[in-house]
Amino acid sequence: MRNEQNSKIIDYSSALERVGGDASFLKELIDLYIEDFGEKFVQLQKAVEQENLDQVKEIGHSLKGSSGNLSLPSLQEASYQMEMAGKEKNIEKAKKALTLLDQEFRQLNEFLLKNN
Amino acid sequence: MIKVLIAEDDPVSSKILKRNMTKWGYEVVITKNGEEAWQVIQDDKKISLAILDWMMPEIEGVELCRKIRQEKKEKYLYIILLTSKDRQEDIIEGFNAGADDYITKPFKYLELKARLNTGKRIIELTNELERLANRDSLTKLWNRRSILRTLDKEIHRSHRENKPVAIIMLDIDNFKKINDTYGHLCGDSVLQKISSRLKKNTRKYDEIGRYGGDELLMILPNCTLSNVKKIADRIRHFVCDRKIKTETGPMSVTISIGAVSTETIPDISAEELIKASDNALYKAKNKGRNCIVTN
Repeated sequence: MRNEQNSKIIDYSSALERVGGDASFLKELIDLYIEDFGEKFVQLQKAVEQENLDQVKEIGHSLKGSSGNLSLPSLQEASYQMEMAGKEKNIEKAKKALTLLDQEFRQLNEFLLKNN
Repeated sequence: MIKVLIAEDDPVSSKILKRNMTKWGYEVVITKNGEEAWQVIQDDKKISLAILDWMMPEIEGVELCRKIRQEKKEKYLYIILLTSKDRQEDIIEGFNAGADDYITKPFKYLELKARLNTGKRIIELTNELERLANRDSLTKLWNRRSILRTLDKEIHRSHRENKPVAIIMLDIDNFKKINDTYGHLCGDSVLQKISSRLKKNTRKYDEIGRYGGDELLMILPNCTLSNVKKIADRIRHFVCDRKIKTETGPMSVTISIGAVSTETIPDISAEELIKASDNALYKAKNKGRNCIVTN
């Protein structure tokens, strides 16, 4: 994967370093992330709909952690926005963050499709 | 091998941790929330290091950390808090709650490895301290303080569960003579060998310690008087039937035993029970040694 052009989507070399250079394990982790993201995104949609801002904060925080650990900067930032929206009890911000998360996740998927 | 508990709700983080740590030679157990982690910590005595995520469902990492320090007294648990918060006040709160170290997310591979190494060093030191504080250096049996503490615990448990506990007080016949004739080094070696024979012949849940000099104390939970008689007899044969190899040649050594069970003397205190076993042992000596007397 070329790092320079896609560093906003994934910083591949830093993610690889975190797992001791094991590329196939990293791929496994990304698959796990995608699966987990799918579940959490559904929960987030529900939480935003029901204006459950504590849950918005919790899920946002959890996604921020996993995005960070896989060196996915834009998804990390979008999750951070979500966590903050929950913390600030700002439902409008949460709605925006949800859209942003969705966009960034699509971009990651496209990127992975192209590069696999 | 150091056994580690990870409490982390994010599957990606816990998978990275588990993979890396397994590679570095740790045994890893994963839990998904604070409540589950607390259960495992209480049940699995082998766990000596815990990595707790700060933000988790049920019980938060920092709260779990406080709980562990308040309620878990037996074995020291080295705690590393996992946090994406690297704000000064959070770190301080974590340390005040009893954490030994912290790691910030996202992980840095080499830093993670280095911090775990520090943890490992401290765990090995506490294990060594614990061993020194609780074991008798000559016989490697429990020392007096430790075996008496176990007795206290077992007596309380026997009251609670309404089951008898038995103890065996034994000593080596004519041990003074062995020391005087062959020297103290030879006496030490006899004591060592008898201790290791005893250890091999105890049930899994029995404990044995050096009460003092050549007096050894065994604690047998859930054991009636007739049971302790049988066990004492087996022990006496196991210890005495074969000669003991010493530097001055093979030596016949016998032991005398005082065995008592709370079955016939319920509601007895630890102190009184020891006294009863001591009296029984004294009678065994007067009967001509190499025999068993019970209450």
